[in-house]
Amino acid sequence: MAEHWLAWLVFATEVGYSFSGSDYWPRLEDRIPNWIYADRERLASWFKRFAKEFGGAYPEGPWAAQFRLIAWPITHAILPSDLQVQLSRAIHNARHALFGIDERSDEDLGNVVADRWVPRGDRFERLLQRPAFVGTLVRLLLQRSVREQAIADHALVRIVQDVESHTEARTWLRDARNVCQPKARLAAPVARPTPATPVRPRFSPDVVLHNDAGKWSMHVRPGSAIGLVADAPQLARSLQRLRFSVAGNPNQAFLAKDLLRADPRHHPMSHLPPPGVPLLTFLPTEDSDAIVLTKDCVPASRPLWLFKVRADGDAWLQSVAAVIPGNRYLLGTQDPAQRLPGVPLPRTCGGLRLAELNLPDVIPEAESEALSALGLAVAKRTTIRPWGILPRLWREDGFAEYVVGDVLLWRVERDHEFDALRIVVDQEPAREFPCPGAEPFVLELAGLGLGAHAVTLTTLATHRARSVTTLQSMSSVGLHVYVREPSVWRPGALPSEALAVTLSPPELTLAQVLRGSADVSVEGALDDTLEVEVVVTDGAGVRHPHPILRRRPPISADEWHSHLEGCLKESDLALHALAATQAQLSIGSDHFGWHRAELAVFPESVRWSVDRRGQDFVVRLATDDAETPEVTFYPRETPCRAHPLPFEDVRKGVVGSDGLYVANHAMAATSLVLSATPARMTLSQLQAQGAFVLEHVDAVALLECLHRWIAAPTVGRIASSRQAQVVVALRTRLVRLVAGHDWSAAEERAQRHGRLADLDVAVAPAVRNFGINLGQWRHLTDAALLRENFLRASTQYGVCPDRERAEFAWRLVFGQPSSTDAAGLTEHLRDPHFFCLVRGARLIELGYKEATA
Amino acid sequence: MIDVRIHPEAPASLLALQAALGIRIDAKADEVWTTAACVVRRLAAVHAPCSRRELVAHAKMALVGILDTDVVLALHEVVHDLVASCDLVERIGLKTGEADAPVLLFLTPPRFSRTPRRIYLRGVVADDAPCLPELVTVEMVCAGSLRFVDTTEIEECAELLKKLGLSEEPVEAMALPADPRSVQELVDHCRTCLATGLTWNDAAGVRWLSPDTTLSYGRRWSSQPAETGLQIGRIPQFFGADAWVVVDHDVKPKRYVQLPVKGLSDERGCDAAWRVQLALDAASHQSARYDVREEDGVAQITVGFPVPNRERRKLLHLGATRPGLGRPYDFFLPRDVLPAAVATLESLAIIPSTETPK
Repeated sequence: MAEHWLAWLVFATEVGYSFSGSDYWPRLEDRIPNWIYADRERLASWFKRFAKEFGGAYPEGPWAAQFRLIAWPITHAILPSDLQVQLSRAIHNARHALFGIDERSDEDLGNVVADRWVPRGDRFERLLQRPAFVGTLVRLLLQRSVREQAIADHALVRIVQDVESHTEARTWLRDARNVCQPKARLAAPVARPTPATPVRPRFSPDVVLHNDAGKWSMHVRPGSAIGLVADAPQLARSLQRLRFSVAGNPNQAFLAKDLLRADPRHHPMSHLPPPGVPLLTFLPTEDSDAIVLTKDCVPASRPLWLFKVRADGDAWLQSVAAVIPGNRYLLGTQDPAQRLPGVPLPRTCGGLRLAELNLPDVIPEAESEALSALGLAVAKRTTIRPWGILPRLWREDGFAEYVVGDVLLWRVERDHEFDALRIVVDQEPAREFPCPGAEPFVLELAGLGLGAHAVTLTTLATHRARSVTTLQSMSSVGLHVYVREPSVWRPGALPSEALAVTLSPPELTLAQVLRGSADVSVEGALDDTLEVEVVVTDGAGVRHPHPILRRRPPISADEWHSHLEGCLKESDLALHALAATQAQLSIGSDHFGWHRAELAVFPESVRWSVDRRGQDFVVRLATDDAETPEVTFYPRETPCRAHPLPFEDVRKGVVGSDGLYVANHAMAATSLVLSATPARMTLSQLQAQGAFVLEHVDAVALLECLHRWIAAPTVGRIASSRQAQVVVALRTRLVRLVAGHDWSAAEERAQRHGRLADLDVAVAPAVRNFGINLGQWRHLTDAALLRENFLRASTQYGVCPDRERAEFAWRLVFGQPSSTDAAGLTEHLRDPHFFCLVRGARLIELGYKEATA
Repeated sequence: MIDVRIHPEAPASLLALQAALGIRIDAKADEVWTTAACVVRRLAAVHAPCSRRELVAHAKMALVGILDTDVVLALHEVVHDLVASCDLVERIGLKTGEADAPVLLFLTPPRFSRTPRRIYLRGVVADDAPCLPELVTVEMVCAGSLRFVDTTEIEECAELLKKLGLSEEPVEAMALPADPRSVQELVDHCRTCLATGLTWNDAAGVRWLSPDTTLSYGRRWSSQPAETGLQIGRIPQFFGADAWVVVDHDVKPKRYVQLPVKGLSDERGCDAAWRVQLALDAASHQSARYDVREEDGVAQITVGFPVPNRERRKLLHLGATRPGLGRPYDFFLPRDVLPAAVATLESLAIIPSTETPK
């Protein structure tokens, strides 16, 4: 068998491909004669070998951790057939958000699909938890290709063919392909050319003119070298020892390490250095780093020095001779004959003759030409933004999404004059519209059909030369418009949830809900109607909704508990919960739709399942563990007597009987209390039926038995009450056993005569006041207060200074014993006063029951 | 053939927008206000659930060039009107797995209500998906935040809308009963709540509504708290709009409660704050004023303070429209419903401007 291990993997994966959520092993077994159950582990080890030697996939995620054996073949099946239709539907739901699929990563595509999938609590969501993998599948189904060549071509072809064999899936995918792959594609951003040699980061000090009450002074701001040091760490050491001097002041040197601060000091500069002279000179001049840094500080020579006045009033030297409309500048020159535009300033600064230039928001053409003649480029900006009817999506790169029938309105704002606008839509002939001046205007485009459209806008200026008038293009922009179909409105479906739902604890588990330890309360509008249900999804992906209640708000926690209790008795919620792989608490509102909270489910690797067969229950045990569990049955009438059951029988299914089923496996146990209901008896008759036979077992065995019965979930209409009966009987026996024979006799006597006070002195014969003190609280109904009183009295009266022991005694009588308590009981029993503690707790319990009855 | 046109700035661009939205505006309604309401409603269809601030920001961009002064204030009023006319609802938003519970605007489902000669249409569909047949949309008239169809065939129209899946609600559903509490009872209730309120700690970015009633509502907001008395404030939140609080400056340490406090009839913090401030102003004999001017059978009510949602709904239900974005607190009403409108305002302790304060 081992020599053909690869063939076995192919077969196992093939079975995984047709996996529908449950019964992987039984179906494998059906197709392989003489299949040995223990070979499951071997199959998993071969998959591991495949992953190691051939780069196969490693199963990931919580599901894979839980179902560690079947996770291998299911993962290698890529997209099991039962998930194919769901994935197609999910892609269809997200089709409008998948536009530009070529430019997007697999992970992004996967996230887009997952974000738009309404959680339903099924197995498909586990697939969506792997966005990169889902993205690969999306690309595979929409483009019939994958980026990573980890999947063979014939496998891809087969998956696509299988998906498209479902008519609805084929239709969904066809729609999605049309949407995400428009005829005219959005142009991908052009990648910047990579320079052949890396560019060395430069050190560049700034020249700033500071305005102090109308008087300008020149400064050099060296700028921080922190960024430079990040790129060249060895420079930090050089800066520690270097110094620098400022142009025009060679006699004063400053420490270069000041440049390692975020905001180094600025230094006054009397004159701009002549051409070729650096603003800063690093010392010693022969140092190699100093040479490089000094070289960086040589400003480029220019006829006009352009300073931009910032909001704080300082004017900063611009490296590029370009001006932007609406801004304020200072222009400087050392040439006395140079004409400066703007308003001349009375004083020179740093050897520069200055003029102030306030540019309007719109620069007339004549002024623009005058500036150009001086060597100053004028930035011309035309802004186009949606207006009035905004698109569903507008990206800064010029992509807009509209719905068919929308009229496109774009507001065009400009800071320069142009005479006309040329518009080209798709392949239609260009149209020109006069729009002289610099005022903003609104451009309207109507009648764009479904699909992608390219719109090119070009601004035009009129040039007249003698008798010839020509239109010259000034600037151009391309916009990509995608027009999609409108969404469909469904009456009654609302877009969002708005219910005040309080869950306590906030993150619930299904087990907490079933145990009744989870509080749910809902507030909403008075005229609303609320509906609360627990939805359980089993391993096959089948959803089982269980309505808990339907009423007008508010719903209090008490109402929730009472309705849940009824639901657990009347419905198959507990039965379905056994096979749950996911669960949700859904709160519906007529006004606000559904609010869903995930109920965490931790499917165990060994788990019971129960099916109805007529009046009977069929009990099965499924396991994904390598070891075979030990199965034991404890009949209700003899709750401590174990009856071993053959695993094979239980795996195939046995007709359930009244009692407790326990499967012990690898240090843990999975249990279930079942009440099988004969048809011809009433519920009350059944509840009263039968007495318990408790064998002569010691206290430790009794405690273990008690823990087993308490911890088990219940299935069946009266299973809970029967479980409670067994627990009471076991606990009473245990307590009386620990408390001693004379206490048992006294207790029976006191109960017979209805005089619990007679028991007070019997609690601790040596410390009579202990029992008398405890007896004073007999009227109290607050269990927490009673517990605190008991623990305090145990210490005060010196019955037991060990609080932990007193707590154990309390738990034995009142609480829920844990799996480790049995081991601790032996130790506690050695204490000669332990029985007094148990008697004391029992006295309180009897009083409590009387008070709350 | 794709139709391309160029429109200069408003009013031409406003007409182009109205045509693009496909709306018919009631002759008595203000065109700018009504257009703004339609644009905001449409934006809500795309962005809700979202915070009011986010919706106003989108609307500001969509209506640039049409709105001039106090754009944000006017757009907030448009949103309040859409809430009052039951197109939107403002609630605490909940999302599974998220700790934040911001106040968000939600869409209400499409529905209608009828009077003997008119059918009012309410609600917004997500993504602005079409839910009405052309037969209805061509007849639909917009007036401020209201949309209606005037027809003599009410039964047939109602049947058609029902068949399309719109639910019907009684027309009275829009008008809620007035808050029966007197001014003093309201102030006392606030003091009772404040007695068990939280201790106030100075926080950055808090805005205070000044008790100085001589200022306009917009100018009453400042960063300086009052020294004594109860005062309305707004505290920045990590998400969504600022929270509304009422602070008691008279006690040491100062105490505050977030609005709406339990026992008030308002669902939203802003409505409770306005109601409390109107009561505080009245208690200090500086009641807010309204002014009425009647012309051609129409009464124009000018109010100097925002009207809480409950009363705003009542006014809209009476047939009020808005005169323009420059006057965000004014209402136009048919003259015959003026007594009811005046009673509504006076229930808020807003008094006529000619009346001497008590």
